[in-house]
Amino acid sequence: MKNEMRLLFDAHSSNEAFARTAVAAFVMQLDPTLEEISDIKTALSEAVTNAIVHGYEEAEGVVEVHCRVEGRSITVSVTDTGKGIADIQKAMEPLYTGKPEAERSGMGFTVMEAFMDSVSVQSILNEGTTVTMEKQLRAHDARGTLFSAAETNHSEA
Amino acid sequence: MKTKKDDRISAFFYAQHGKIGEDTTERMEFMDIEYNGQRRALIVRLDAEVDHHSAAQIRESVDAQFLRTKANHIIFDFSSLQFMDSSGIGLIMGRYRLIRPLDGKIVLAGVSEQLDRLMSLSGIYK
Ligand SMILES: Nc1ncnc2c1ncn2[C@@H]1O[C@H](COP(=O)(O)OP(=O)(O)O)[C@@H](O)[C@H]1O
Ligand SMILES: [Mg+2]
Repeated sequence: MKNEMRLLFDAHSSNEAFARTAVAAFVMQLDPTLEEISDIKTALSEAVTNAIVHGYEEAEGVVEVHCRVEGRSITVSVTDTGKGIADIQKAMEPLYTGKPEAERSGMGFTVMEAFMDSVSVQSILNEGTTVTMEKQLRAHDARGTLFSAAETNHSEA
Repeated sequence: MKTKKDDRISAFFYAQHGKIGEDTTERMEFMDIEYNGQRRALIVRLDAEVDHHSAAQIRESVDAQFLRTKANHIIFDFSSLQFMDSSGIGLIMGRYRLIRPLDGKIVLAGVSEQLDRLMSLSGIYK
């Protein structure tokens, strides 16, 4: 079964926590492990922060988060209509940051790539950026077994 | 970068100079900052979600205490941490830059498995 949701919110740093919580709540339908939830929240936080800090440079703007689940696969994309990225390959290098003075670590894309299965970036200078991330959640064998065991008990009773 | 992910406070601190300044504790909603004069160390206990938004406030409070106490070392205690992304890495690296000229150390305590993955990625233990 496929299920989708979209969030649109102002590019305020206080909305970073909101976006993480909302996406985590949506993904709960797949009954993810704590580690999977944490991975998704961290990657999402990186992309949303980048939209706010780099896309809009902390000025006004709207961030869109699109989240889609199908089977046990989740796709999250984060879009801004801000300044765009001139050199995507360079931007994605570990430790590269366009804002060293702001105590950015330059590890955002590296974290997204480590915590999700795939990350792709589409960007046009002065038009904006979309980061799309995918993750396949682990199959729920153990839980499926538990469920059918409970059902068996129930029918026996 | 000299960091230790050790739950115990390094013996290094006991060998430090005599006590300077009073021991103090500042309690905030999202963290406590304790100053230990004996060890010349700030102990920062984060009970927060550390992201770009909260990092600004945390940085401001830690730096204010750092300047006030003239601490040599900063211990980050993550045992009550609720979330951290790469903004937290930037925060730690920024504090390291502060204490490096003092020959000080950053100690990372209470690091969970998940947080360890984040820290390892960034090579912060080096
Ligand atoms: N949405 C975006 N819009 C414009 N530039 C971006 C965006 N996302 C990332 N970048 C660029 O890519 C660089 C690397 O991003 P990242 O790995 O998250 O590191 P950091 O955010 O710490 O700088 C940023 O410094 C910025 O120059
Ligand atoms: Mg970033």
